[in-house]
Amino acid sequence: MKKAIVFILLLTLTLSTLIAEDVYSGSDPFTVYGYYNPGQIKQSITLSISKSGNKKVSNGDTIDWTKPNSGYKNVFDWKATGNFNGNVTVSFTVTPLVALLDDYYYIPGHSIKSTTPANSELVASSTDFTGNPPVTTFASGHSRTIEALDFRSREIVYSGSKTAPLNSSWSESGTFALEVTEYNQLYGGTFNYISTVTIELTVDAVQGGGQ
Amino acid sequence: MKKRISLLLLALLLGLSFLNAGKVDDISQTIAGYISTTDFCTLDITNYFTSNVITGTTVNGTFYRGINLDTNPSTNPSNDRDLITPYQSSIIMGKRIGAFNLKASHHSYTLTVTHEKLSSQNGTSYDYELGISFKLNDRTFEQACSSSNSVSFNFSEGAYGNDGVLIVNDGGIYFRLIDTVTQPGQYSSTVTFIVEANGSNP
Repeated sequence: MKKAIVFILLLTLTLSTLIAEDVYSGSDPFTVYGYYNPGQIKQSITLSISKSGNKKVSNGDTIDWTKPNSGYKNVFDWKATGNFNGNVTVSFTVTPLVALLDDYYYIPGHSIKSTTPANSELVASSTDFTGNPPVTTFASGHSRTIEALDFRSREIVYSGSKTAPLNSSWSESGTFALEVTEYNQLYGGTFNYISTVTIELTVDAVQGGGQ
Repeated sequence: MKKRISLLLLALLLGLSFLNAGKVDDISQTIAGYISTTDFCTLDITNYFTSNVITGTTVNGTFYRGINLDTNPSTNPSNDRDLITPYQSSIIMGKRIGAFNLKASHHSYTLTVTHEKLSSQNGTSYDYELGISFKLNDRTFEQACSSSNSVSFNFSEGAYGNDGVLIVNDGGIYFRLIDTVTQPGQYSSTVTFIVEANGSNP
């Protein structure tokens, strides 16, 4: 009987030590960017999304994993504007959706959709990060849906050439949405689900279209 | 007679062994459940200039992004100019460049935030003040510092909410120049959030 009690006490102490050392420490860095060009500003470019201060796909949105295929939930809208001429690329990098439990759990069974208006001048393509060429290339102005059934990050790229007359600017816009495609009771709790979407706008300027 | 007594004692010992083994299994399962359900600590940071809004200008084909560091009203008429101008007050003011959330349970923590000077590729660097501001249990916490110092907040058990969970939602991260920038170019600086546990788990 005494041997059994000693074993239980040792087990408790060991587990408590693991909690204190392994769970409660960490750091997270980010980079601040700034620029200084007094009196030289001739052209401008702006990229924005509709939900300021929100980089988490799931933050502020309710994802019901018990109701699959019930339609896409719009996560954010984006808009790019500029007043110069050149080749424009807008790219999205989307990480797999994970649940924050004791650790990160990858969540299959959802799709992401990116859409541009029918009059968009950009051509879109999508790929994963396996080094393969784009999975598909499709005409502008159409929705693009990607089945995110594995654990690889995805990329959607819009590209095209934009021109603007003097003293005017061009703009492009689109939406980014998420839909649950598989019923899964395991992920139906009140957990935090996270997928990081990085959106980037790059321009290969040819000549100024602004003032 | 001795044989009978020996057999009886042996049977009794065997019975006690089976009884003890069963108790050990039951209690160890209870401890495993405690670990998975009660302890957590998460920190996430939103940087407004990499994931949400990217603004900047193109000069001679080069795209510059981030905060316009020009504080001259004749060359930078934007409203942001006054927010980044070198400070003249001890009150935290500046351009909000990000947000952070911190959630933790049943522990004492220290949150430390450090940052480097703004540096360009040609080696020019300028210092700025980084401000942290948030509310916890209706009390406002604010600190700011230059790159030579750090801001630090200690969260003891008494700072927790009624449910025993520490929650900082939408904490503000602010930027304000200390030096005046005079050299054209693009600058960057790394900000680091560190969360550390104090003591052992209760």
